[in-house]
Amino acid sequence: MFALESVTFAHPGGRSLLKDFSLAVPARQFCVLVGASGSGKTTVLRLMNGMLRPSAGRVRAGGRDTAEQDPIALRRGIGYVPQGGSLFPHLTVAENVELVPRLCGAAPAERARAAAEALAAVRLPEAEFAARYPDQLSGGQRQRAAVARALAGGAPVVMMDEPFGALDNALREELQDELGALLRRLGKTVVFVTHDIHEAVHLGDRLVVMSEGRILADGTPADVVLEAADPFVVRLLGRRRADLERFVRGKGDADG
Amino acid sequence: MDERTFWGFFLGQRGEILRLTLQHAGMVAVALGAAAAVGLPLGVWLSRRPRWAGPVLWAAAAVQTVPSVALLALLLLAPVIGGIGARPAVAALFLYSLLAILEGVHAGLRQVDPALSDAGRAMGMTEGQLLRLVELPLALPSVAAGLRVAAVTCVATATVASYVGAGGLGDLIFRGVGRANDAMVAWGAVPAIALSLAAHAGLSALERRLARRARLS
Repeated sequence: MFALESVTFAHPGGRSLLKDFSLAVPARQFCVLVGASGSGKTTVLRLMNGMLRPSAGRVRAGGRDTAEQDPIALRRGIGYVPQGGSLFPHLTVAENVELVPRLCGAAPAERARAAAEALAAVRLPEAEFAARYPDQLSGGQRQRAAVARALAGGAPVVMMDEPFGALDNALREELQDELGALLRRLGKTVVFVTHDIHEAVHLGDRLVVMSEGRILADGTPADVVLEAADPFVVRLLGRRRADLERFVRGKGDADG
Repeated sequence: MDERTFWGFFLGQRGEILRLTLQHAGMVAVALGAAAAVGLPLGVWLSRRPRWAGPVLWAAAAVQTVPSVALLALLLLAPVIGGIGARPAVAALFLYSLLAILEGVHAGLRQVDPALSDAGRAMGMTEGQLLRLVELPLALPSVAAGLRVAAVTCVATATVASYVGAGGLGDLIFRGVGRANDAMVAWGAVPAIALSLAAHAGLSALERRLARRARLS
């Protein structure tokens, strides 16, 4: 679905954030990019949706080079959940959620239906939440609304950049479980960025551990956790390694 | 009734007072409308070209430092807009308003959280859609604040426009001073103050309403 092929990326005049970087994300995969801030994971996301252009190499989306695609059309085909949700404060929840259908020129009735469906999917009942403004929502409700906004356009791909970063642990886990399951049920291709290895292991089909623009480990959560050898990966797993090992083993048994 | 008393002057000259008040407000409205028509798009353009913002805002601020009588005198001599009458006055008011409006638009757009603009682009907004759907609505309270400052400045400056034969409430003030008629001076000053307060109150209310709508307060 998405492929970075030998991509180098540097901001003009800056050092390169990615160097000869390759990564392919097949359709319907839940791929989590995990690493410390500055590891280049958000850069990968922004190369995939055409917000950044590679200095060298190629980025493909749906098999076609993104350099040859209309960037606006490309982005409308990707549901995007930015850090902190970034709901527009002057628009109601419903107006926020129906934005992508609106950009694509959908009729008002069709937009309203898409928004209602997306809100129902993230369990924000339309009757109660549609007319509220973002400042009238709790932190968790805002994140749900941001996910609804990413779903309402019907895009097959959803990109999420540290979407649950600002939430407390209990709420974070609740949203991970619920929204992760929702995205799987809908059959979305997901590229999810986080610095939290725990979140990555719980959510992903595939983990890509990044540091300083390079991939240190790439595989299923079980592969990455059980076979961690790289010192950075070991450090990232840290004290929670035993917990995570138990989790991936348990998950393997349940799946098998 | 004696036209040298406050109410006597009003009763004798209310038609003239009203005519000059409307003329005063008219000059302000035309200048403000023209400044908004130029300042809004120019402010948007500047917010997209930070390199130009400095010099253009500097030039607009430089105009502001020219004393109003000197500016009127210069414009009086200018070709096309010059000559005795309302034209140089409206031109001066236009130039005075432009800075406040430009600053309002520019500051308003720059205050928009970059994360929101980024989110808009990432969901596939064109630059025009981003401006219309996100950035301008969030900048509107600041735009209204710029208009308010411009309007109040214009009402004040327009009284001086009487010097170049533009009419307005300055006529009563200067004529009254010349004839030592305090009532005439007062009936030039009071409506000018009232216009200024009305412009301030009206545009402040608009600003608050826009801020509430943008959920900024």
